[in-house]
Amino acid sequence: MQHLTSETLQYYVGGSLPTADVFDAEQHLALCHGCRRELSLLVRITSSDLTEEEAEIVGSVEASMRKRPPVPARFFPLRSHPSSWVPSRALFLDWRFVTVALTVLIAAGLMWVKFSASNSERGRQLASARAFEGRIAGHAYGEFIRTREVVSNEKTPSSPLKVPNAGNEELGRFYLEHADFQNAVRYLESAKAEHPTSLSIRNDLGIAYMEGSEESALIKAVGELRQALALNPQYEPALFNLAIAYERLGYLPEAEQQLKLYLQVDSESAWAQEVKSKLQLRQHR
Amino acid sequence: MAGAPEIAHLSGFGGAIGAVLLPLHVSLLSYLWRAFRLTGGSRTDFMSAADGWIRQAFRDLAREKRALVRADDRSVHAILGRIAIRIVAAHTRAVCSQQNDALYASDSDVCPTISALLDLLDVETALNADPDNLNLRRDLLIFKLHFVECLTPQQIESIQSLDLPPSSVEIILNHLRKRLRPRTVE
Repeated sequence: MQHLTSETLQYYVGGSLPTADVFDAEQHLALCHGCRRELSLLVRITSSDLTEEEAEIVGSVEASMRKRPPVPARFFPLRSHPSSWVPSRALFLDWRFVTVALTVLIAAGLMWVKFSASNSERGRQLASARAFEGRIAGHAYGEFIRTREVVSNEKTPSSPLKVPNAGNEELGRFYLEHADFQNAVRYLESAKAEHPTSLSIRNDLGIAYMEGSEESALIKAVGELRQALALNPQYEPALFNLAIAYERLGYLPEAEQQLKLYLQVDSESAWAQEVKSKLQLRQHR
Repeated sequence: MAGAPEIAHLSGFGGAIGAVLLPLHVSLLSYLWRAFRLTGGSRTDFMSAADGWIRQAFRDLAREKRALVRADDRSVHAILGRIAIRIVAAHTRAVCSQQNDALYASDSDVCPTISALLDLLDVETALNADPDNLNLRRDLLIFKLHFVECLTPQQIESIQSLDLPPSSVEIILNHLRKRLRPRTVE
């Protein structure tokens, strides 16, 4: 009796085994305890239900990853070129390192120019400015000129938030607008469970993940935004935010591609002008 | 320890496919933990080994780029699961050969009584004798996956090749129970 390979079992579980082979596989599995045991192990391991204990362990591992300093990819020897690993050169020649540094410098310069303008001008700008870089669904354009720290300073105990009596989506958006990302994630996740096909909820949840303090949440943000775009590839806020998420993850070519995709959908609005500025910044590097 | 983006780049996943795989990082970690837990592995050991395993998993995934490009969601998770099992099995094999058996044995040992009963009762013969049963092998497989391997109906339905609509496993199992009852009475 020829037993099923682990690849065959994987294809069987994933539904990519040719139909002609499915019958043979099932015939074998019905009779062979060993192969059936391997199949059940694979099914059990890939079960989509994450228990609290598992979520906690996975969270701990991710947290321990974050505690250690991030290391540029080229610090590690690539398998195909083990001899090319020269840490000191890799540090200074890594173009990502240089582009991120340049971005920070240019952004700091732009912010300084804006903040050095008159107080009244600054006040006017702040009144219509958005608190973070992401684009909340349905929000009018506001220039992004403030840092997250400035916003969080506003949340003093003497001025507690007046929480509206509303559904999960509204509460999530309320907390998002007030830069309370932890609560925003909590309510928007509940809202997503209620309305899994809602583009605006997925988009805003993506922002909440992206703007939260956990770096690993960027991955979740990409997932949510991509889901939104899978539902509607021309959904402007998700196109806009996905570019930011890619940029923060270090996927600069993808970020640029995403910005260009955005301009195909919207080339006139104030959001589009910001996208064009971002692209120009990138092209000047 | 590098984060997921660095690992993805390191494994040759730079670009769009890397971005597709990054959200799977959590799934991969949970699959590794589930497999490791079945061998009796501790949380502390997992915490120290996870970095290397994730790295290894992404390298393995890099070798399967072609399959991944065409794979749907369930197929990708099946690939991740197979890789997780292989990595943990290799680890336990290196540590202790006896532990490796535990990875496969622990599941089926959950319900030994039913397993023993099924040995006494020849389910296959019983089903074969049922003239109404048009799908003997598949029903027998579903029956054994549930009663011997202790998979839940939802887990069985997640096997894509069975192509079962929701709740159908419960119906099949109830049907089989009814068919087998006269046989067990005999």
